[in-house]
Amino acid sequence: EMCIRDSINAEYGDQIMLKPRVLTQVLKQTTSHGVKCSLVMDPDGSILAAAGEDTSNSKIIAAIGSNIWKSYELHKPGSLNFLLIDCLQGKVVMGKVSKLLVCVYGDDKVEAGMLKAKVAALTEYLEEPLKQMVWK
Amino acid sequence: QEQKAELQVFLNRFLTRVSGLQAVYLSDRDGTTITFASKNDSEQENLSFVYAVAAEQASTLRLGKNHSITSFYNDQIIVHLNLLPLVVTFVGDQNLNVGLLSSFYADLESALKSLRDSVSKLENESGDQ
Repeated sequence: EMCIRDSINAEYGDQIMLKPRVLTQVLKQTTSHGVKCSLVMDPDGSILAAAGEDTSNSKIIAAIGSNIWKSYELHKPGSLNFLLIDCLQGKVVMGKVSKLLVCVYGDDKVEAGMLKAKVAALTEYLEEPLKQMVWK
Repeated sequence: QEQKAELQVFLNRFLTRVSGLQAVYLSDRDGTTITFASKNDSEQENLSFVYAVAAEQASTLRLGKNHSITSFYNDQIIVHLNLLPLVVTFVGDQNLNVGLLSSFYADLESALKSLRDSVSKLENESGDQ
């Protein structure tokens, strides 16, 4: 459901592509009860899809969040599963899925455990579809 | 030396109270360890030097000042607590009770206030020179 097959491209064979609208709909299911925004981004902080009431801050959070993720991942490459950034007025939780990062952030009233559970659910759900994508 | 010994006793208490906790480090913003308490008495990598930079970056997320960063690895959990110019690092296994740890933050902040003020003062004085 998340991907379409394009069998016309002879160079790549059956090319798997992403349906951004479907991905956004999946992310939207996590944006409730204080969650401001959920997004999927590449390791450099470029956003692939975002959903939520506060997407205005998403570019900054994606850029800085991915940078902080990289710093912590150097400690044990490939072993970092989640990162919780707790600030006075909000929390950010990040997780990895395939070669991408999932990020969910909310206000200070959201419990960290809830954000982590949502990220864990997203990463589990998106792992198989995103694994099928062609990465160049 | 006396203060260092008192600090170590204080940090050691966390090791007995929090399940999954293996070590507690107190360092400055450059990652230099001031003192630590560890279940196996050896000092291991704690990433406190990474945290000081990460905390400053995290404080620009428009979510207010950064309070802590917790990193969950396959076999380890590391919690960094912002008491800049001091950094407190908790290193535990994958069963570390992060929630219980967070309940001690206020006590930790209060206990380290005088040391924190002293380090700040030293930094300001060396900055003036």
